[in-house]
Amino acid sequence: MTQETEPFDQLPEAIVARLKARDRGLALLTPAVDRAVETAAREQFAPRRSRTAAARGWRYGAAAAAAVALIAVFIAQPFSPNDADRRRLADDIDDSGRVDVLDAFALARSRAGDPDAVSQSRIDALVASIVSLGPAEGAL
Amino acid sequence: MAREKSDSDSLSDEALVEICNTGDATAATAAFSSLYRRHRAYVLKISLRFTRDRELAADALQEVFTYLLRQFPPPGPGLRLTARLSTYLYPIAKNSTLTLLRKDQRRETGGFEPDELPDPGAPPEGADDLDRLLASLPAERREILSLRFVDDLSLEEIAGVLGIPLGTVKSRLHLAIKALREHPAVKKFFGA
Repeated sequence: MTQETEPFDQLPEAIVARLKARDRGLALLTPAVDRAVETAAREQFAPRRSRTAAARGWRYGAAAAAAVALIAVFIAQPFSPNDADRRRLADDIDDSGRVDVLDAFALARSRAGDPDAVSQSRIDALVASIVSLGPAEGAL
Repeated sequence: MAREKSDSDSLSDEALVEICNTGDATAATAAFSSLYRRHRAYVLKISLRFTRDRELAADALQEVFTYLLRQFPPPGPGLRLTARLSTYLYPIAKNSTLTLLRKDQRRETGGFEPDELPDPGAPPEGADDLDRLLASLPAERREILSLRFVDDLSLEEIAGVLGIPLGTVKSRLHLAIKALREHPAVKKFFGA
């Protein structure tokens, strides 16, 4: 910072050195102040969470949200069935949780009691789907 | 304050201030610690230009950095450095010291408050004519000489830290150097 070189702005080195020496003889150790300042800084900044803690919190939050979403999907699935599911729900006449030959029997009994309640073609289609799906795939 | 060198010690003041403004708890504390370690000696030096009372200077040191700390959120709004941090700290160090000094003197004198800058005391033992002359300079002149030639501040920076016009800085500096130049014990240093 000695860009100015006007006469009023120059001092002999010997005097500058003496001015500097006046400051140098005054070094102090301040352990109590050091501790106080450190403590004050830690306390003041404490409300800001550390990035590690924040990241950990974020990860926990994300995992929890994913779990909730997954559970919601499983819970919601029966209430928002696709076409195939809808067919299976409709075909699960006895509400057993699976579409099997007992449902076809139930339909057949319904038709026997009231021929207009269900068509023969529907019973045939159900029997055909049960045969083609096989026992495991009929499960809801 | 931790003595070991941390990563933040290698950062600029501007970067450390920014971390104090926006960093997380760990980073901000480390950054402030680095700022403190870096400028502690400077603040003490400034304080001791106005008092030879080391205990009072240590109190001023704590006040300066407490003040600085409170500039950062929370609760402060954040600090934007537009100049060197040392030029920001100078008036705080000076005012803290003078305030503590006035309180101290009020206690001792029952209400007296000095209007002028205090004389920080006699020259050290073994002092020669030059030391005695520097010690006897009016505090205002010694202050401007120290700012210019010890702290190496530009004239504009001095105007900023003292809150006075640039012309006044030049005038005070001129008078301070003139007084030295004309003093019989110091003339020889000017090569005249």
